This record gives sequence, structure tokens and C-alpha cells, in this order.
Amino acid sequence: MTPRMNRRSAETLGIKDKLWSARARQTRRMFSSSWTVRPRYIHNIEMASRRRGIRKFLFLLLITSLTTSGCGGYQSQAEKYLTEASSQIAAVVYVLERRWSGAVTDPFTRSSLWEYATAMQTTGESLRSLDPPFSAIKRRASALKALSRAQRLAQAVGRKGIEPNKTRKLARRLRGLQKELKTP
Amino acid sequence: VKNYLSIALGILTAVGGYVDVGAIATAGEAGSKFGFGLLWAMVLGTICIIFLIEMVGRLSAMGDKAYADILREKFGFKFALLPSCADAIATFLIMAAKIGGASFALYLITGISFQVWTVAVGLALWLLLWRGSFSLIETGTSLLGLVALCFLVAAFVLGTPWNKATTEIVLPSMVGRGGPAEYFNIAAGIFGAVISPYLLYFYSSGGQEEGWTRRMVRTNRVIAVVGMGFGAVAAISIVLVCAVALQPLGIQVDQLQTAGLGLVAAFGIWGVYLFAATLFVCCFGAAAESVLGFSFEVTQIMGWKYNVNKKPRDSAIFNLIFSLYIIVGSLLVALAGIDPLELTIFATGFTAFMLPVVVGPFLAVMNDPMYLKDQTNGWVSNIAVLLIIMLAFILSITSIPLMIVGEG
Repeated sequence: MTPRMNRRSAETLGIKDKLWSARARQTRRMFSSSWTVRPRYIHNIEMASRRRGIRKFLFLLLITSLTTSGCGGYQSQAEKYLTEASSQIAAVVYVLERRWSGAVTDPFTRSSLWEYATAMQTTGESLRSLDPPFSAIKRRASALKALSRAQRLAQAVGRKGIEPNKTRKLARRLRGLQKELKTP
Repeated sequence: VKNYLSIALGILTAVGGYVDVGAIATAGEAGSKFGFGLLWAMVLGTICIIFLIEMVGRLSAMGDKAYADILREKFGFKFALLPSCADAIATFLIMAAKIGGASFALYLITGISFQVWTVAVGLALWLLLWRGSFSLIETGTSLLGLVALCFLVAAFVLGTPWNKATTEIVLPSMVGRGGPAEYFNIAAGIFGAVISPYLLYFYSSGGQEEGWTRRMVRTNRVIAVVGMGFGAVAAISIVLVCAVALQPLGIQVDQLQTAGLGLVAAFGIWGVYLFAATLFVCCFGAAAESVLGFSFEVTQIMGWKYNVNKKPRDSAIFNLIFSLYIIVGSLLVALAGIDPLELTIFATGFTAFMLPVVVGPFLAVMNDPMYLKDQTNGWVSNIAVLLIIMLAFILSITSIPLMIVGEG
């Protein structure tokens, strides 16, 4: 009984749907020449479906952007900050090496390194604020230690400046810290 | 020939969009993180701004009113107030960031804190606008702004693989250091910096200041293409230099001075000076442009007198507006010590968010024969405006989530 009834109601619904769409098509054809004079119910239905569409689009956009960025994962966030820190140390090394060859001035070296030290501090704070899983605690601690040492070295040069002949040694030391940052 | 000298207006307008503090950082970030993968955004942004600038220029040449003036007249005061308020916030942040950027350039050269320099830069800017004529501001800044082309020379010196770069404009890749969210965030940042609403208000009012007439319609096209082309070449060169010199070393441009390392690689010690000069001149010119653009906009919407060339007492409110803006902006950077780069990133995101409100009315205004007589938009321009409005809507919806997600 029930399946037959269901089939019947489905059939009735199908006929109703067909009738409805035929009527809608007819009405649309009737008013196709003038878009401004349209029955209100068609306008309302279209507006509602459009609004629903926009809402769906916005929701999908949010989900996609959150998923693609891997917003929630510790791994991707930590990786991002570690890359950032590594880039900052690489830039410091680059400036120091150029200072040795006389390709950058002393004020540029001091102001740049001071700014990199400040940036390293911010990166370190961001990394510290993450909540790592148990397996990543040790790695994060060693990375933070290396970053903190690099930051102190850059800050010291930023404050006092550096003799060109001492830059290579410091650059080598910083490169070592950069490697420590990357090794698990 | 005299008409074509107005090219200075185009170059000055481009300086604000392409080679200011935010644009240098964004272009540097794009190059150092994704190589040539984001050049398409620069090219697309340039095409959009060329269309928009040509249109506001045509509007100025065909009548005696600037764009903001027409917005008020056509749509009413309340409608014109909405984009104006949004633009007031964005332009204020942008101007403060540019004052900070010019100060940062002096900090790199001298080692003296940029907060100290902020006061001097603010004072110099105010003096230039108070005492200087419009032609002095535009000619001086645009001539000095040519220093930004040092990035183009550097791109040649560093041996850019031009074939690869050209291919990536047509077939861009997303390969680099950073996820898709970061990629699209930088792309949105590029659009936000290039299609800044204040550029439109400034260029349109600049045309009025220079007394453009119907004769300038054709010249305006050349000015729009050459001026914006100059900006695009400079900005694309920054992307190329950072992609060639910094990406292989694993250096990302997250700091302003890092973009200068590409010039150091190309020119040695001269690279430091060239970078500082580019940063200073372009930020200073862009700050003058943004503050003038905003003062023009407010006075036009309120129906007050505006003119840079008149004595301050003859356009008192105009002078009062830019004076207050400069004082508050300089104090914000000097006392709070806000990083100019962070300020710009926020301002650019906000600009992208409010873009549809400014670009939307273009379609109605540019097809109104009352303002444009026989020079209304053709179908090509109308399609371009429609596409730009669509792009503006997409940017507006995605800019804030992308900024949150992309910045981490």
C-alpha cells in the first residue's frame, strides 16, 4: 500500500511540477518582451533563489579558503613560520656578506638587522603561540632556541654595528642556526 | 607638444598606485615567493586602471566638473557620501603609510629612527602643498619618480629569463613558497594597490586643475597608457628582480628593506642609495597625491572651493583638510610607531573591500551624454567597466577572508 501510495504521490507531485514549470514558462514567454512588467510571484521566487545561490557561494568560498590554507593544522602553520624565520636569517646573512664585500653601508646594515631582529621576535612569538602535538614539542623548542639566538645576534649588530672583517664569522654562525631551524 | 607634457600627471598618478610602500612590498613578496607566477595580476590590474583612468580623464576633459563632483550631482549627496567616508578611512591609512615609507628610506640611509624622520617628512609635505603649485608637485615628483626605473635596469643586469617571464604572464603557475590562499591574497593586494580609488579622484581633479578641454580627449588616452605603463613597468621590474635575485636564496620580502637587496645584488653599494631614493621619492610623491586626492574629493562632494594653485586664503577649507590630514597622519606614525608596511597591507585590504562602491557608478556616469556629450562610452569600454565591476565585487567579497587566512 505504502509504496504504491508513495509512487502515486510522487507521480502527482511530478505532474504538479511539470504543470508549474509549464505555467511559469508560459508566463515568462508572455512577458518576455518587457522585463520590467513581470508577475510579482516569479520575481520573488527568482530573488529568493538568487539569494540562496549567493549564500551558498559565500559559504563555499569561506570553506575553500579555510581548507586550502590549512588554517587549523599545526603542521602547516608551524611550517609557514619556520619558512619565514629561515628567510629572515637568510636575509641577515646576505646583508652581512655584502657588508664584508663593501656592497652595503654601515647604517643600512644596522637598520636592516635591527628590523630583521624585530621581525624574528614577532615570528618567534607566533610560533610560540601555536599548540603543538606531543611529537612536535621537541622540534619546536629547538627551532625557538635557534631563532632566539639568531635574533639576539642580529639585534646586537643592529644596536652597535659591526666591523666588516667580523661579518663573515657571524654570517657562518647564523647559517648554522638556519640549518638548526630546519632540521627536525 | 604642450598637451603631451601633461604626461607628468599620468606618471605621478601611476607612482601612487605602483611604486609606493605597499606596492613595492607586494611586488617584492610576489616575486620572492612565487617567482613570475603573479605577473598576470600586474598586467590585468594595469589594463583595468588604464581603462578607468582614461574614462575619468575623458570626463574631466568634456566638462568642468571632476568625478566626485559629478557623483554628488547625479546620485545625490547621500550616495556620494558613502564612498567618500570609506575612502576617507582608506586614504588616511594609505597616506600615513606613505609618510612612514618615505621616513623609512631616510632611516635606511642614516640609521636614525624612522619615527624621528616622520616629523620632518610630514613638515616637508605640508610645505610643498601649502606653497607649491600643482605643476611643481606633478612635474617634480614625476621627474624624480623616474628613478624607479632602476629596477628595470637591475632586471637586465641580473639576466632575467624574459621568455619564461612572458610565458608565465599567459600561463601562470602557482608554484612557490606559500599556499593558494597566500597566492590569491597577494594577487588581491596587487589589485587593491593598483586600482586605488583615490587615483581616480586625483587624476580627474588634476585634469580640472590643468584646465583640460575637449582637445585633451585623445591626448588623455596617451597619458593614461604611458603613465600607467610606466608604473606597470616599474612594478613588474620589482617582481622580476626579487624573483631572480632573492627567490633562489630562500629570501622572502616580508620586510621593506628586503626588496632593496635585489638592487644591491645588481648594483652593489649604489643599490642601497637607489633603493632609498626610489622609496623616498615615490612614497613622498604618493603621499602628496593621496592627500590631495582626498582633499579634492571632500571639497567636491561638499560643494566647497578647491584649488592647489590658489592662495591658501582663497580655498581655506581645502588647505585646512590636507593640513589636518598630514598632521594627524604623521603623528600616528611618529607617536604610535606603527609599521608602515602593516598599515599599508590593512589599507590595501580595505580599499579592495570598498572598490565596488567607487567603480559601480562608472557605468551610469560614463554613458550620460549630459556630461560626456558625444564622447560617451563605446561597447568596448562598457564591457571593460562591467568586467572591472565584477572583479571589484569578487575582490570585495574575498579580500577580508583572504587577508585573515593569507596572513595566517
